[in-house]
Amino acid sequence: MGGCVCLQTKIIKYIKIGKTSISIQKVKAFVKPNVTMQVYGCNKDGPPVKDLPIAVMMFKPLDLAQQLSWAIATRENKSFFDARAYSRLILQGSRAVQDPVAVKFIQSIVDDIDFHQVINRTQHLADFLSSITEWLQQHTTNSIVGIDRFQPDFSAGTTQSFDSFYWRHRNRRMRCFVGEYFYHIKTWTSTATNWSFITDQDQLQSGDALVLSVPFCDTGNQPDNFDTVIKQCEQLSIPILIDACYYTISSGIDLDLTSPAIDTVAFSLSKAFPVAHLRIGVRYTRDSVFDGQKLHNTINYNNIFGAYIGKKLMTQFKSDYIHSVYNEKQKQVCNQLSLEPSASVLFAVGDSKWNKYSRQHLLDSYQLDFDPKLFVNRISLTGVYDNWDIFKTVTA
Amino acid sequence: MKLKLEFDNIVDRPCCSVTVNQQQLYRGEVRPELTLFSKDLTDRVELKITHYDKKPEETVVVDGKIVQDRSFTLEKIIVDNYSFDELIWESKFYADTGEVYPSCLFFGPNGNFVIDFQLPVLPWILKTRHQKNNNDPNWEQDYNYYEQACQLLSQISNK
Repeated sequence: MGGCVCLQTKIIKYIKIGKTSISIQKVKAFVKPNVTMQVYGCNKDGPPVKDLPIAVMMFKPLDLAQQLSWAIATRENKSFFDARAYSRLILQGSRAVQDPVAVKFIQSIVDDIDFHQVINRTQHLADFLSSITEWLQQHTTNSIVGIDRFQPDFSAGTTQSFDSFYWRHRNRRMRCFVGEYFYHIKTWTSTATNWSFITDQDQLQSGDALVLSVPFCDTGNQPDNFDTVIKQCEQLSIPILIDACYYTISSGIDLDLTSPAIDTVAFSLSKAFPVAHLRIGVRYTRDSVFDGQKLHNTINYNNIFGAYIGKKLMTQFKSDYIHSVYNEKQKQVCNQLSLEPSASVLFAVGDSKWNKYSRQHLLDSYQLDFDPKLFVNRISLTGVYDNWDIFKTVTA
Repeated sequence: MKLKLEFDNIVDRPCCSVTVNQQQLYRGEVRPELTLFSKDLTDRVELKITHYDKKPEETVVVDGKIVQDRSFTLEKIIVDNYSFDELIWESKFYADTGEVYPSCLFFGPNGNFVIDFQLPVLPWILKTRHQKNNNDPNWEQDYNYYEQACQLLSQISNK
C-alpha cells in the first residue's frame, strides 16, 4: 500500500485536516509516512462529515525523505524556488556535521586567538604533525597498521596529496574503481591524463598508478577486495594512493599499510569537523619522497592557521568522536528511511528506489558525463543530523 | 496580499491608479516602486493599473517623430514576494481609444493594464508556467511538500 491512499468508504474528493480542505490528489504530501492517520471526508471548504473515517495512509520511506529534504531546505531558504533547488541536494554530498559541541569549541578557539601571532608561529605545523599519527591510531573501532613506515606532511585537505601523487606518477596510467571520488576523474579528464576505470575487461596492469579510497567513496564502507587489490599492485609494482578521508567518521575499517605498493596515504579533518574550508589534512609518504609538497613541509610554507585549529581539535576530541556521537542517530534514520547504514556515519546506502538521490547533481556540478546508475545511491545524512528537530517532528 | 510593482522609464510625471478586484489601492504619480497591501482577497484576482490624466499635448512630435512623451513602463509584478517574471506578459493593455494591446507593458496612451491571477499566487505561478512551457510536471507535488514544510517549521518554532 506504500505510496497510495487507501479509502475505506465512499468516493470522497476532499478531506479535512485541521482547518484545511485538500483534494485527495494532494493528500499524499500532507500526511506522515508509515503513520496511520484518521481523517474525515468533507465537501470543499465545508465542515467535516462526521462519523466518516476514510483513510489509513502509509507511504514509502522516499516520501519521508522528501518531507525531510523540503523542511530542511525551507528552513535555510525561505523562497519556494530556492528551497526546491536546495532540497534536491540535502541528501547528497559529504560535508561534515555542524556538530554543536565542535562548532562551539571552534568558535571559542577563534575568539581567543591572536591571529597574527598564530599564523607566524611555525611550531604549530610541527605540533600538528607530531600529534596526528597517534590521534588517528587512537580510533576505537578502526585500526591502522604500518603507518610508522611513512613520514607525515601537512596537506591542504586530502586534495593536495592527490595532486602531488598524480604529478609524481604522471607517466603512469591513473586507475580507480567505479564510484571513486569524482575529483580524480575531473582532474584527469581536464588535463588529458591517461586514465581508466578498473573493470573486468580492463584490469590493473604494470605501468598503472591506483587511487583507492578506504573507506570507499561510493559506499563509505571498507572495499571488499582491498587485500586482493593490494597484492595485485604489489605484484605489478603499481603505486597506490590510499584516500582515507572518511577514516575518522567510520567504524570497522582495517587499514593495513604494510604493503610496499602503498605510496601515499592521505587523511583529512574536513569530514569529521566543520573545518573543510581550512583545508586541514595530512599526507604520509615514504622517506624517499621529496616533492613539492614535502618541500613546503620542510620550509614551513603551509597553512599554519589550519594546523593550529587542527591540533586544538585533536586535543579536544578523539578521532572517533563524530562516529561515536552520530552512530545511534544513523541507525534511527536508516531504520525510518529503510536505508542500509554505511560504515561511515555520515552516509547510508539506498537501493534502486533511491535513484532520485543518485549522483546526477554531483556529476552535473563536476561537469562529468557518466550514467548515475554506475554509482551507488549514497545518501548523505549530514543534513538530517544538522536538523534533528525536524527529523524527530516528522517521525514523531 | 502584498503587491509590489516596479516601474521604469518614467517620463513627465505620469499618473496611475492601481486596483485589485475593483478595490483601489493607489492613485497618484507613478513611482519607481509601489508596495501595496490588500486584505480579504481569495482565489481570483484582477489587477488593473490605469494610466490617466495624460493630455494629447504631452506627446510632442517633431518631424513625425515622438521626441517627448508622458509615459512609463511596468517592469515587475511581485505578489506575496513571488515575482511574476515572464508571466507578466500574460496581460493586456486596453487603451481608452479602444485598441487592445496584448502583452504590452508600455503605458503610452491612457488606459488600463489588466492581468488576472489567483491566490495563493505561488501555485498559480507554477501551474501557469507549466501550462505554458510543459516543463514542470511535479510542480503540484513540490508545492505540497513546500506547504507541508512551512507548516512543520511553524509547528517547530511554536514549540
